[in-house]
Amino acid sequence: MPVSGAGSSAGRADDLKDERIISSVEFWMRAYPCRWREARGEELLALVVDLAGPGAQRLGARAAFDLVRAGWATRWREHPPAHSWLLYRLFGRRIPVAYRSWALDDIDGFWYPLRRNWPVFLALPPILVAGQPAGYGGMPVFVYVIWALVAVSSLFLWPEANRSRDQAQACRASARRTAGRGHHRGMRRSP
Amino acid sequence: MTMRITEQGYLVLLSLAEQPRHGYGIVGAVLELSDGATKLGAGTLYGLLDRMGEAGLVEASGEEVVDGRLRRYYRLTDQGSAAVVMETARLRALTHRARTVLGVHLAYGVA
Repeated sequence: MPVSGAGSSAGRADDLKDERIISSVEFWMRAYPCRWREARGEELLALVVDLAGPGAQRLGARAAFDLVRAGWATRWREHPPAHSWLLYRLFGRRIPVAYRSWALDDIDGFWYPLRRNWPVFLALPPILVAGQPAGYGGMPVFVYVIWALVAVSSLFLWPEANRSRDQAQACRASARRTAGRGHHRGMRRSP
Repeated sequence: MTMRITEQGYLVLLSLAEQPRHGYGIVGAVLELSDGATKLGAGTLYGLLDRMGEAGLVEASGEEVVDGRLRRYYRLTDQGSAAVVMETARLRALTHRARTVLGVHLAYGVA
């Protein structure tokens, strides 16, 4: 960020404005996939701040909408086709190499333990209901409680379970075919 | 991978035909080329650059840090240069046909 008169009150005020606009831009940039932001977020941030103009403290509604729309369009573009996604989600099949970034973001995600073990969470209520003592009807409260406990424990007690292994598997599956390419599939680097 | 070239995409390609540019430079060049009609947002520009990169029309050509901000430069590939020339030819042909049609209409209008 440009600093005019380092140490002066004007310089500190400029720094403060820069921090505010950067925080604002980073907030709206969360619409983009995590790995896209790691690969190209810095240059996008610089451009948005440049376009916002000197002295801007927060992003305007139009620019914020443009970022969110483009971010979700990027997510949509990077999402694997339905059949690949279904095979990956239902049967743990490897995702095509072109969608490696999406797969790694998926594995890194907070909700991944639930997404990965969705059959368990889907099957748990019927199993618990089937195992309840005779005479009970409907879904008793304890089913919800146990269900929630299992979900919460998978998210907070063992959040890293299987992540490393799944990431290694996703990378190994595509490493041979992506040798020499950039981290993100969106933009090739020139030699 | 092929990509349909929109008006915004064409302007971005045209802006890079002259020289490699960074994001801010592209936005400025597009504004100038379109006579102020097209002001690209940052998200729109990077969406276009992403798709053009995947289609092999543009590539990153270097980067520098100015005032603590990263600026990555982009340039046309050979395929991108060919695409912008072809699109220009298509637009020229379209303009020619449009003039012909308008000429006919004008003739009716006068009659």
